[in-house]
Amino acid sequence: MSTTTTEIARFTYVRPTDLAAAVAAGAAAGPGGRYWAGGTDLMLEWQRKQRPIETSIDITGLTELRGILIDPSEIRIGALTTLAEIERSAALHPDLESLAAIAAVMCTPQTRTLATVAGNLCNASPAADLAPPLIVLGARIATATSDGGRELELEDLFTAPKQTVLTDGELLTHITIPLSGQRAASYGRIARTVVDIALTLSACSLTLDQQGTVSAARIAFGSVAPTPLRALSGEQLLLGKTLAELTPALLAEAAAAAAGDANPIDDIRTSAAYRRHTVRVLTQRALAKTVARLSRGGDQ
Amino acid sequence: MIIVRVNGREQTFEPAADTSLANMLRDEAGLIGVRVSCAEGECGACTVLLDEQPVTSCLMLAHQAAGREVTTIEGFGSPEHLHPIQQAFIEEQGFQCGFCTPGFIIAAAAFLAENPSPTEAEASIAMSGNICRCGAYPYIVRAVMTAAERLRGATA
Amino acid sequence: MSATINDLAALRDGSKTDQRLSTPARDAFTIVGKGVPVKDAIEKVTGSIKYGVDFAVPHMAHGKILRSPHAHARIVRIDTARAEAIPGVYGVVTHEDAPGGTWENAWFNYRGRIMDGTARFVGDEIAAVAAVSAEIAEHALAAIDIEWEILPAVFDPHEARKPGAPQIRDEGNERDAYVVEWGDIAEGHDLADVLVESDVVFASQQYASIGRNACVAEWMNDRVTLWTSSQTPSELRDGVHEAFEIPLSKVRVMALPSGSSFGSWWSANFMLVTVMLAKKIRRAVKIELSNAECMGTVKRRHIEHTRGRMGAKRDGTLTLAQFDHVIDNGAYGFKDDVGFFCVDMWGRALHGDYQVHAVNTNLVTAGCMRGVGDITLGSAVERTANRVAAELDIDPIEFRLKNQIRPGEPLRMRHSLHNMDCSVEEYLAGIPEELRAEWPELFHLSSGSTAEILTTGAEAFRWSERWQGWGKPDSVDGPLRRAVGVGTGAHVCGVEFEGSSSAVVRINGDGSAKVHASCGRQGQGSETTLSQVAAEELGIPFTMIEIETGDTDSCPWSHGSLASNTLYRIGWAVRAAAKDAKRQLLEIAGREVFHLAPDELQVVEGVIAPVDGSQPGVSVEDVMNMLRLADTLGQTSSITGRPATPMPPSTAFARHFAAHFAEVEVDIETGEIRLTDYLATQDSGTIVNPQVMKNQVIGGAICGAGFALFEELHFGDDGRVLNANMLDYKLLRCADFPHQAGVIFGDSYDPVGPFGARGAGEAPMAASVAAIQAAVFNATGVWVELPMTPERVLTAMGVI
Repeated sequence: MSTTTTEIARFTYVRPTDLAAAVAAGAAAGPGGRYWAGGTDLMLEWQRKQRPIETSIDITGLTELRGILIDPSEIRIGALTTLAEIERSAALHPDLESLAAIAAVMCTPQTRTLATVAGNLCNASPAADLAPPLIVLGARIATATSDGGRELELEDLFTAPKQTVLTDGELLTHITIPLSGQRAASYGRIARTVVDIALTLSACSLTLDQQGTVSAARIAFGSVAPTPLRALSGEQLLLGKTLAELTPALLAEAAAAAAGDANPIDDIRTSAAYRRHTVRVLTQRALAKTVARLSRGGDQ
Repeated sequence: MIIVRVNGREQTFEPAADTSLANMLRDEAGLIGVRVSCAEGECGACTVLLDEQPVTSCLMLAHQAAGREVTTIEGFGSPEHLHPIQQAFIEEQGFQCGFCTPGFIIAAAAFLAENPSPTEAEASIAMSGNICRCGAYPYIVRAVMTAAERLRGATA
Repeated sequence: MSATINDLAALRDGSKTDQRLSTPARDAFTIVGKGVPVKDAIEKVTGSIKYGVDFAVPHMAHGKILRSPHAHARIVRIDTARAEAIPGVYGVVTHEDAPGGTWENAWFNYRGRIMDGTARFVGDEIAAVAAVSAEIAEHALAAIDIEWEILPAVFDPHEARKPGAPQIRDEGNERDAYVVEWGDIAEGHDLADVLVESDVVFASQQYASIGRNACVAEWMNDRVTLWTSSQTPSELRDGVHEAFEIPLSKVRVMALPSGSSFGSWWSANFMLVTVMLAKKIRRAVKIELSNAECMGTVKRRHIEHTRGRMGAKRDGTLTLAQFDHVIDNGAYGFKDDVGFFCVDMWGRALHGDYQVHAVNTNLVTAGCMRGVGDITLGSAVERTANRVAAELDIDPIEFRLKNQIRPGEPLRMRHSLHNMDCSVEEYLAGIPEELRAEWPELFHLSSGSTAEILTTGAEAFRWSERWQGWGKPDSVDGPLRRAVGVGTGAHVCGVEFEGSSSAVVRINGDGSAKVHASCGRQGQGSETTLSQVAAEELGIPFTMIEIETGDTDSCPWSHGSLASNTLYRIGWAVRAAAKDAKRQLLEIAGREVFHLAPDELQVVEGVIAPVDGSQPGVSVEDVMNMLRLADTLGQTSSITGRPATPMPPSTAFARHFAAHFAEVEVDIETGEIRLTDYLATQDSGTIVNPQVMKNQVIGGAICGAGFALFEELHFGDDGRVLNANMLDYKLLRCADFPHQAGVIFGDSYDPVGPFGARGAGEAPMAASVAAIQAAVFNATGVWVELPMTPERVLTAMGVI
């Protein structure tokens, strides 16, 4: 046995304390850099050698990226807001109810303490639980880089499994949910045991204008395509309808149309056929729940 | 070098950049009550409190614990003075092999801190972040309910 | 929830359970039957108990194993020079270092040599490195250069049976069929008014033990010591002895408690690889397995395929049971003739023919997992029987009461007969009369059955109110359908095939006693129940009893904790050893202190006194001290007891039984199944510790429910395990199982087992699968293939 040491591959760990330092570190690190927040996905990817990492940029010290702010026009969710914080946010605003409900069934309580909203989105899993409910709320994301930043629709973030449009060193800083008139949202999710990745997920939202007709309808899916997916085909059928016109038959038709947008695969979790079938069932149920909520809202 | 307050005492550590909090606590601090089974955040055996919040320490970088307070099962009760939750787990026999037990006890502590008067159904959901392969679940729920009652009594 | 739950409150808190322990013999027990906390409870809740992964010795090296990327391949050339040159590496072992001996794991898994230059599954052990750290050892694995000759592989057991199939073993792929026949099948057909055919495939279940495992081995001169989590310390010692061809006296196994197990941690090849490394580098070495290694390379339950039929007369009398069952042994499984006690349970069928074919494949080794055979073939038989009952419109409980075995009736399984080369009568004639005197009638059930627990359970579950008939839900709410189901299971209570399990009890000078009994501590409470048995027999307080279970240097040979063996067979040996120690104690006390015959004395709560109260009592401690200092023979310092005779061959008469009642809610649009109510009943004779037993029973129910609903190992086209992780190998969690589940114990008393107790842990698995499967049928009207994932539910219903 020789006495010299053997080099084991490790990454460099840096911990900036403000946004400017973080994006500077990101720019310096280039393609080998990863922003590390809760790290619950990254830790596994690193340990399984699925993704080379040269620099881990720990951003959990960036307090300005934490928390939920609500003003009259929008809800602003900091990138580092944890799933546990989302889970407890339902009382803050009605639009956060479905988000909170989904967060409560994501991973485990002790992982929700660590995992962040931005992590769930930037990991870009086709099954990312927060993506569909945020997409139906019209969420936008804001990013920062060492030379600026941009805003984009959340639904435009994802390009392929585990792939986003974010460039090297680009940091997601917050998510905004624009507030609009009378809106309700619901979701349906199928999992195997009480803690599980979603086999199928469908979320929807309906917004009524002052005349009581549907001015915006959104349907989005998880786990039925290479990325979280907005199902435009179903939405068209709902626009301009009054609550009374949103009959079970129409909702079924819209759900079937939406399900036609799904492009699922077979994997060890379940089959494409199961996903295609259940995404329709879930969408129909979520739409019915949403209509019921809006009806109740109208009574108040 | 980082300083972490572990079970009430400040300790210094020199973890590698990619060392998990769980491995640092086990290997450097000798806290074997931090159990590592799946090492993927599913089983909850490695649960510790980080500033009083439960975390899966297998998924967390040790460096992220710098300057923070970590409580492991070793910081709960001693054999002579068991924590009420530990006592309740014994009385209801909320375990078999015991490997998952520290994680369950810590998860229960975090849950009861937030919800001191849970229903059985709430306790059951809250205990679902940990896996007990031996299947002591009904008795784990009873242990949490018994502990809740004791803890309420203690603070009344 | 339902009113049943309130009814069960008394049962749950144990008060009703205690009432059931009401036979006169049990009333006299002082510690047997008490739900005392387990002996290691404080270590477990404070996290101080040490499992294999926690064990270390100073200055030990760390090992890692190189695993085959191929399902079947031969090493043409292997070069370790680059790995050995890496700084921090102590040494590398390959098949070229493997000792010449072959070893087996009990009689089920015949490994052959530890490594022989051929890989037989993806993940098979090929080489290993020891280094200053696990990271360096792992790094060095990549520097081992191998030239492979890829061999054809076979993954399907049916394919592996065909002529010309790739041969995995020198012994051939297929074991001799295990056949159980009685009566005349043709006549059974003729008598049947209804006949039902079945074809059921069972996916492989993974033990998925929480806690992984590690082995530390230290080779000193010509001796070796191993520390590892194992249920079978003696078997592991035997394996090291066989593989390394060294005397048993030079192998010491110090088995540690394990994080669950269910059969996964008997002896495993990685433990022997650790010994190879220790021998090569002459330094203690530890191999700690990752969770992926535990779930993908050690063992798993067999993939099984049952085809068969059952027939019955219109009055419900089963006229035949005919099943052909194929199991895949994976690469190193060697199982042929164990398990399948469903054959006995349904043995009232007038004519029977069961055939079991065990076949090797290039998948990871299959081994016995909790409930082996009875969770698979057993649940297929239950399903077939249910379909017969449905055809005849007979209630499942009535059908079981009519067709399941009762005490005194013949057992159809004849394991021991396979080991005899003569008739039972000839065999018995060769057994000394004094031994035979205590034997129950061989090949007949000695005690217990499903009858009492089915009846008691049905009442507690309000079966007659809730059962709506076959294929009929008891409530419908939109897409949600609720229904109940019942299932039964049986299993053996230990086996004697490899020798009698023994134990030693030592009474110390201070009046305490130590039990030495080789078994596992995987959470089944053996350290507690065996101590209760010793305390009851000795009359020494439970708190004064300690037990050593893992050290093969102090514990005599035992089969260990497998086949529901621990309390029945090892417990029998512990009681026999305690009796022997007490006899010696009373002989000396009678001679030296009381001047009475031993049978005129008793020990109660640590005090020896005449039975008739004619003299004041003297504590065991005082007697022992008097003797130690002054007995006339000057020879007594401690007393050692051991069984004077072997235990009767219990596979030939003992079984334990379970009957479970489940309610499910099925969403027929999504296929999701929710368990909404559960009652488990158990006949294991005397319940030595109700706290331990209720956990065993519900634990079995939950593990069975997992197999029924989600648990399934997936294999890739190349034979690789695709879900060796807990993200995609789904285990039930707390809220997946009704937390209000109840447990009821039967009231039978075993004539042989310690204080009337029998085995316990495996029948609940089988009953659970059968009950849930039947409940889902009643909710949906279709039989769903296992595991009953949402997708399979919708497929069975023709929705997708």
